[in-house]
Amino acid sequence: MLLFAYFIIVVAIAKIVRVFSRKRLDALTLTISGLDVVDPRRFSRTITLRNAGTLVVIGVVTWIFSLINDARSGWYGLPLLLAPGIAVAIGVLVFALLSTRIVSYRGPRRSASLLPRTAWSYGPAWGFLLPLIAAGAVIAFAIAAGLESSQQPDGAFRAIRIGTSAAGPYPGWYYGVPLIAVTVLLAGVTVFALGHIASAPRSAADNDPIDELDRIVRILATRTVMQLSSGALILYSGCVSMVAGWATSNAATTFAPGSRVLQHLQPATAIGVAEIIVGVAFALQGGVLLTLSILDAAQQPLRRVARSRVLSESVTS
Amino acid sequence: MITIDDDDPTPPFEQVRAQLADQIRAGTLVADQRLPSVRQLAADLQLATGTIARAYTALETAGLVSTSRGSGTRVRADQGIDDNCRAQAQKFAQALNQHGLSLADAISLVRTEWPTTTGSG
Repeated sequence: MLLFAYFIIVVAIAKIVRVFSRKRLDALTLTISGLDVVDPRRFSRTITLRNAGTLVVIGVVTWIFSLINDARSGWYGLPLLLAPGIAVAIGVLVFALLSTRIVSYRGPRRSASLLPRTAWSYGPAWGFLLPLIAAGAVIAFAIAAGLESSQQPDGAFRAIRIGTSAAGPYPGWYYGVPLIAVTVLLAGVTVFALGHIASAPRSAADNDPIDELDRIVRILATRTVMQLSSGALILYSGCVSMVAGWATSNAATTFAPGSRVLQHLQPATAIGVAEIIVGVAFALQGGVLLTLSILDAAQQPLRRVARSRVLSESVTS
Repeated sequence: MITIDDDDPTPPFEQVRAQLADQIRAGTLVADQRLPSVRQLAADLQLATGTIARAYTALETAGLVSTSRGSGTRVRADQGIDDNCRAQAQKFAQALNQHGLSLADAISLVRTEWPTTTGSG
């Protein structure tokens, strides 16, 4: 029920964000008519297939990790924790490596722009800071939680001890070290993917509509990758913060027989509650970014043109 | 923008070098402007990376660009021809064009007249 409410809120916020950014999104669609429409249409279909393929890969990797998690109960949910990060990293890699060349034109006269394309060419500067800040937040939080964690009887740092009582699961070193590794992996894959999207060859045909379509496709791909990786990282921050807050609150609460609360130790309880609130906010933000990335991936860069209009323009041209 | 023509007997590396040199001299590519990477230009023009690298090396030897590991290939300062000379060249090109001369004929004409203006032969 709680998860269902989360999805509803996330989708509602994502929809509101899309409504407010409608003008900007309208600028990311192009109408090409006449005889020129054949190659872009074909390209548009390959973009749809690429995006759908990426989502399938993310889904399959998450499902495999959930199976591993079910089979290995002694790993205390570690595969489930790593699933989103690794799934998104593999998905982003698939997304970037599939070709973005619009038209494989190989005529005798070929043109190229003299503007260098870099990983930062197709998005606003602040957009690139988002995954960087999110990665920094995950790593900082994992280190802080690791330092606060205490050892369980099996030797793993996955609990928190406050006074004489301990509670878990807590994102100590047992979860924190793999989480830091996944964060570094995801950040690296994101930079690689952005570079690959920017440096993929452009069409060598000197054709304005195709050049514009190329630019739009690269902007949408950059947005998708940024939102996907930032969303996964912020969602991580949120989930880790919530789990840490829950464990901290439990460890700071003294229970009497019958689950009756005897006392809350302060400031640990307050810290725990604050971690839960921050975690919920981050989880919502991460979910919204992931939803926006799916919506961007689903956006068609080519606006549909009525067939009759295309035919009439073909005849007159 | 740079264009490669397979039907042109000039080797591709020379086409790239000449067009870049012309754009630097004409001020289209300004001082300190960064050129695309060898790999990007080669992929876009569907040429071998060695072809573009050779053109860039020739431009570097001519002192038109400088290459460093961190900042890539950049146009060197003070390589453009001044505005007054370019305006004169434009007038000259327009005048000959109106007389129906081809580019090759115009260049041939300049080559013939050049020694008489410099006096050195």
